[in-house]
Amino acid sequence: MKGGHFPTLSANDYLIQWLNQRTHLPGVLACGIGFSNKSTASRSYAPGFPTECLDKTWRYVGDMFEVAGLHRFAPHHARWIYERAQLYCVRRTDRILFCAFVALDLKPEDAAAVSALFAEFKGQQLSA
Amino acid sequence: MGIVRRYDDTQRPMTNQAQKHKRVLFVDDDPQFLETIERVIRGSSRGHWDVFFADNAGKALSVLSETPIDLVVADVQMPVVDGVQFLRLLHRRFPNLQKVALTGFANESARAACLDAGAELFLEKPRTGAGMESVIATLEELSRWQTEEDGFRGVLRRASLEDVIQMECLSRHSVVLWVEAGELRGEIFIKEGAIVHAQAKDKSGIAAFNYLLSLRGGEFVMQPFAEPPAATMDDSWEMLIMEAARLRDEETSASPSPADGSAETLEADLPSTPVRTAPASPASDPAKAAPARIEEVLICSGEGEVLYEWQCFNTDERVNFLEVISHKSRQLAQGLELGQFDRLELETPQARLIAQVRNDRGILVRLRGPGDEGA
Repeated sequence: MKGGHFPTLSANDYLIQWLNQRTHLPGVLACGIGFSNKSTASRSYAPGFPTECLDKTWRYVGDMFEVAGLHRFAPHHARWIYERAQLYCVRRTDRILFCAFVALDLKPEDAAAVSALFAEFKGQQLSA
Repeated sequence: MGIVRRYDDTQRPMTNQAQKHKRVLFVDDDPQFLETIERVIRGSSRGHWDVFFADNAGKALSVLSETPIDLVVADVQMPVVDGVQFLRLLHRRFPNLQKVALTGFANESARAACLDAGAELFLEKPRTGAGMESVIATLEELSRWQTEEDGFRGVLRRASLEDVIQMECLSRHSVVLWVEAGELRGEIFIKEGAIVHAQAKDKSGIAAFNYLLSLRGGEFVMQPFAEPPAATMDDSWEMLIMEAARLRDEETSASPSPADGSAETLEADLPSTPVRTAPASPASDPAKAAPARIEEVLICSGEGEVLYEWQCFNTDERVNFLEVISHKSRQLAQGLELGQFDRLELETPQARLIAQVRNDRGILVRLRGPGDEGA
């Protein structure tokens, strides 16, 4: 390859690429990113999690981070626990959210992989 | 401008289709804005909206007390009772009503305040005709979403299904109750307060009714009434429920170990409790598992009445927070197969907040990790 310019990805494009390449893990039913400009990107890996519904979900999760801040409790992690799945959410200081619906019966090794995924998401901000 | 005007853009008689009209109430102290909205809606010929207007919160409440409204669009900057206060009031009195905040001065803090007060959407007031059209289209989408969610979903436990049937019978309603538990589906037909038919699997009539009432968990959906294939039951609902309860109790005492693989044994198909224990958050620091100090506790009833509180700095605010969590838990699960909501856990580096919301209660506990004094 000749020297010169690499095509440059925007930070959001980079995160979408990361979402496409890294998030299809055992136990992850669906996941997505809520960007600070309110746009979203979603990936569904299980039936019952249509992407058109997921986009709305990330918006509501973002709202909840805002509302919790008003109640003097500004979280960096949130976990919504339902009967059939749980939703993990993390928000970075640049207000970008990563959320994943995860099966309840995760094996320990799968839980570790999901945990690493969230750490990776947060780490990308540090390395940016 | 009149106090309250109603603009029905079709003037059609009430038909089945017309019954699906969405009733939208605009609340704004700016008469010019209300007139513009009316003109745009009239021009765009949206035949499925009945639109109401009020120029202050008091008049809006009187409309709401007289007419079942589906969607309220309120200006944030209003005199006396401002939009946020009004939304909060609506959220308390009409928790299922969809609410949208409109403002000419959009900023993040106003947005957060409106969402906290129960608004589904926070929109900037349009300044152009195209902007107005865009707002109307957004509202239309929101109201359509609500249409898809008509009826309600609920978790069925032994007592709650009986409660629902009793409530419908006492109110002399006509509904069809769809019951779902694992692979099983059944229906109970209630006509003008009388249980007229039930069906489940290969059973019908009283056998199906007793079978459905023996379920230990699952979901129900209330559907508009439709005539059953046959009227198979004519006993009073009180007798039917009592008999079902008696049979269930007998069955429970006769078969303490139900996991015999029989398809008839519901306990074999379903967990004994609808909420399974969740594994620890993979996003959490394992150190958080260490004992933590409880700093605040609030327990309230399903109606928001405070039953117990300990060290809450503002109970009203906390009750409101639980209401918002309850509302958001339903919103974010729309269209997803998640089952019943159990709880929300929030974490900061120093503390955790756990909020459990059920139909009959709300519990909020705030904990601080060991060694995090102060702050």
